[in-house]
Amino acid sequence: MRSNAIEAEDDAVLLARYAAGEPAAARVLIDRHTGRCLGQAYRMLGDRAEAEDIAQEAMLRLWRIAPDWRAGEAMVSTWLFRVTRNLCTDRLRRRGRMADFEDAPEQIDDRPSVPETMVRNERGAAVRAAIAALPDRQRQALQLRHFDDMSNPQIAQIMEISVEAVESLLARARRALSATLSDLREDLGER
Amino acid sequence: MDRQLDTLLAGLAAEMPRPDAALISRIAADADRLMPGQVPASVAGLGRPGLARAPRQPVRERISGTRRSDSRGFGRRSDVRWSGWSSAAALAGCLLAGVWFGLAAPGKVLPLDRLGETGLDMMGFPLIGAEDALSGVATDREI
Repeated sequence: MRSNAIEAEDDAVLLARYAAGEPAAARVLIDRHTGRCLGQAYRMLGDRAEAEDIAQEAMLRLWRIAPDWRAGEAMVSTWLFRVTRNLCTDRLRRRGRMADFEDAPEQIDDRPSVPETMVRNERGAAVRAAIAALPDRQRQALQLRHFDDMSNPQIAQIMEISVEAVESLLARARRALSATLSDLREDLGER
Repeated sequence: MDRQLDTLLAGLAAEMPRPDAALISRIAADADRLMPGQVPASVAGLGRPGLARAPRQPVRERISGTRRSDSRGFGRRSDVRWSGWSSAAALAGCLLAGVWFGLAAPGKVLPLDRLGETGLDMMGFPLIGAEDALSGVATDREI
């Protein structure tokens, strides 16, 4: 049972506590960041098993760098994002092909009725296609914001731009998505 | 439309894979294995976290700073530190002493010879009478 105090700690503090030999700090970091690494790798690779390998490798590198981590120079979340991205890029180079976000396998939910599932899957496919059609930087900002649940300052650090530029990218991405999807609203069952 | 877009994006985010228990346990096992405090004592310096990554020491110190130790012979450790400068100073001292003795001693011996004394006198050997003839200092008249 972890205390609330350690759950509320900053990532850099947790990493320092891990480096000092406190296993509970590692558990909190795992809970916070593994999902993001896995989701990011899955979006880039389109394969769950490979994404799990990448997530594990990225976290492994975090444990290795913990004793040498210099607080204040980088955020753990952005550092992990870059490591995950580089690992995925290496994996894709080896594989010789780029997995497209559109090619990500569907997650079939068998609880709703078949028509509902079809509509839901079609809707999801349409949104994914619309996101894939966005310019690179808009797509990246949107994915970081909505799929990785990152704050605008975190996104700004990852993309090496200002927070205002992130807000602008997000606004343009949303406008473009809305425009693309508005034509499909009736077909997708929206009113 | 914004709210609908948020709903659609949230739906997509929910479809993203979540880490399962097996992945979490693998990552946790990595963390435990690599935790600095858990490094074996033989490697980590008695297991203290701060010593796990002790800075690498040079294999040998520089020659100029070598401290002579028991392993070099002689039973007792010497605290003398040898360096190029001290060696040069010692050599210069030896040379200076040699030059001083070489120049000063003959200046003292020559007057003694003029008085009929020899170096043997200076060292405490008594004269027995034939020393002058043997040394060539005496004249024919004196012999």
